[in-house]
Amino acid sequence: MGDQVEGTVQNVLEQETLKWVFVGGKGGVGKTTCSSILSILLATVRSSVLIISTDPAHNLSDAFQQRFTKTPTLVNGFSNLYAMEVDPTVEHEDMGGADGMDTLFSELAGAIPGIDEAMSFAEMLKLVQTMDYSVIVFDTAPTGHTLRLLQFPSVLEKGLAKVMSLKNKFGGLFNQMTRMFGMGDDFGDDQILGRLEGMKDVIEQVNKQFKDPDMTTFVCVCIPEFLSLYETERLVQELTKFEIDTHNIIINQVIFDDEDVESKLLKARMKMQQKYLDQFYMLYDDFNITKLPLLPEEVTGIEALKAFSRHFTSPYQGLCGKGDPVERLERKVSALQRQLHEAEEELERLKRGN
Amino acid sequence: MACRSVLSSSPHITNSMAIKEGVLSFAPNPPLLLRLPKAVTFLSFSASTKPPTKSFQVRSVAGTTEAASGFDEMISGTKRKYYMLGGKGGVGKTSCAASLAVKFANNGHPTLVVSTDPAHSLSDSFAQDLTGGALVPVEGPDYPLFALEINPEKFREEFQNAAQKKGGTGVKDFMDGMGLGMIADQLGELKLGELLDSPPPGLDEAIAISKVIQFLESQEYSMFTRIVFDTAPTGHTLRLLSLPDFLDASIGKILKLRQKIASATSAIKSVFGQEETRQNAADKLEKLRERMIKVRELFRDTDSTEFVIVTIPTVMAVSESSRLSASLKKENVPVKRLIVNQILPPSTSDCKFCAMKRKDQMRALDIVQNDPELSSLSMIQAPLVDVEIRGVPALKFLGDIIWK
Repeated sequence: MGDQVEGTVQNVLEQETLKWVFVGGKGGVGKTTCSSILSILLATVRSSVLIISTDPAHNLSDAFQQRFTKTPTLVNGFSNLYAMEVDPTVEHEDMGGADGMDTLFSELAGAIPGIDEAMSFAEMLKLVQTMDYSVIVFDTAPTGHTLRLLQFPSVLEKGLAKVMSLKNKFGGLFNQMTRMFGMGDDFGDDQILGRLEGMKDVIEQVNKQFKDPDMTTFVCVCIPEFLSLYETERLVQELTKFEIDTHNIIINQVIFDDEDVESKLLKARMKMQQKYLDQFYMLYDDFNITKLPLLPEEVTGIEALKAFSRHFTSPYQGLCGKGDPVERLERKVSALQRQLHEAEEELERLKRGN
Repeated sequence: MACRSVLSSSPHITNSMAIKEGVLSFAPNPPLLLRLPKAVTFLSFSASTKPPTKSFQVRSVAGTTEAASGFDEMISGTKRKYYMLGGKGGVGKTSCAASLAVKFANNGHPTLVVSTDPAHSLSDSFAQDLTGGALVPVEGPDYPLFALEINPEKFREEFQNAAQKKGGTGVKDFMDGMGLGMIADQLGELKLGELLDSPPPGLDEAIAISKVIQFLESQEYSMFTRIVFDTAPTGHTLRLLSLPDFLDASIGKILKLRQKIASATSAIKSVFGQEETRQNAADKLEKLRERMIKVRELFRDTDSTEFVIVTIPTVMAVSESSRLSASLKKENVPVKRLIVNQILPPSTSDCKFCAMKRKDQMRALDIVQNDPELSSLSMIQAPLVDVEIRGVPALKFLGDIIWK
């Protein structure tokens, strides 16, 4: 254990070509805290940072203790850090009065389940592109949701190619048929197709960037428990399938052997965690693994996030990290004395209670 | 170490307004193939009280009190009831769902517990392999307990099949039935079906629940009187609630498109004397939509369905639970109970870490008490334990603490 090299997220901060950073993992492992702190750290080394929450459960406002909306909002206390919460759904648009065969393909495209989400996501990406942020951090939804989100650019690109091909092949034929049989000559604007065509270049570009390890990386967040380990493995395999780079893992809520940790409950949980920590290191020996301590208090608000961020850039120094046995024993004696004092107080209360 | 339960219920109905509301909210029972004998159930109203002070004597007294519990209400009657446990990810929904199922079974109710979580956490909870997409009997409880882990991949295929035919898509089927077979063949080459490879979030859960409802309507599975669903994290649940509307829009578009094509090509059909348009694909989509509507109606059935929110005592988790509760209320989904999990148990030898942690947790519990959405729910407190809750004996232990 002591021989292993402790990891940090320094490599993410130092990679100047990075444009997209995704932070994901099983629910409840601290993704929002990690993505918030990552965006804060990136803001210290990059000219402009945007953090986007795509989880419909939206916790970003809670983490920063500030209300965020669908448009980028400057985070309090920063000059180059912005945040927004998007819900990748679109209000069902009325197709309007446009009628005729040319709307056939628009309606076909619009009927594909999930395409509304993909289009909304694409429009958001297009908006973000025009704003020209140096780096964008995504605080994503629990794993299953994220995997679908990452497929959107490919889905859209595929869909666009097929619909265009369909139109090219049969558009003329249908036009002739409608004229031949006296259908209306009015052909309304292809609303969805128009929007799709307009985004085509953006989508192709983003899809290419997502597969470029110089521009995109995925940071997996987990906790040292069985289910989180299982889900991390599933996530890493899916990301590999999608050709999305991932080489950072953040293990959160680790209980270190510290002077404050004296209860049997925490000792037992520490032992349980160690089993899974070992498995993480075995499975991901070529990853940068950052371990974050379980804190007694919740990390919310910018000051708490900043204070906690030091564990991202230098490994946590628990008791076992310090070599001075005299200091260690002195702290242990102090802790035991406190426990003795508390026990004596409890005894006195019990005696008076009789 | 005794765990406090702040849940209490009054067996007497003293509020005439409550009686009136009870009558108004009555929903007619859906017909079952085998009508089970119907037991009379009394309306029960729960009120949550603040946890007692930390003094040792009060804790000792509370630990020995035989408090009236909400679980009696949950097990009364042999009419089938559904319990959906949902909430923020990682708060222990699966352990709570599994322990509830074990407790139901040990109290005489043949029980089915269903999970749609792709991580197969139910197998982990029971320490038994439940994968395979079929009902598996769980070993240990006194009465029948079955578990089902639904594989989203298989049901995703079913979703695609509903809109797809071998060698093409539903669109091809439509056009084939209208005498445009050659064009349809070329359309088939485009493999439009690939566009359906990524169904929207929430659909997995909806199809799974729909499939379970189909199971239970058959004679073979009529014995189950309690169904427990271990649902997905909050985001999926929120999408699940709006899914029928979404599918209405999507399938409605496809059907409308079919009508438009039909009218445009009616002249061609009359010239060449084509046969009637085939209904297969459209019928499949229509049935899928009907099943989704059925799922939505089940969620809102106050007589036989209850959604239980699970959370942990942190500010962020409580905030998310509040939003979930608000959304469920807006969608008319019945919610009565809130489980706050992973609470540090009382200890006479607190270490510094635990003392700070407990203070932090009490702050979150105060937020629950004051939150307009959550304060009206019955709060159940579940402790953080020093062992992993895996296997039926451990689940029984946990269930006896939570469900009283």
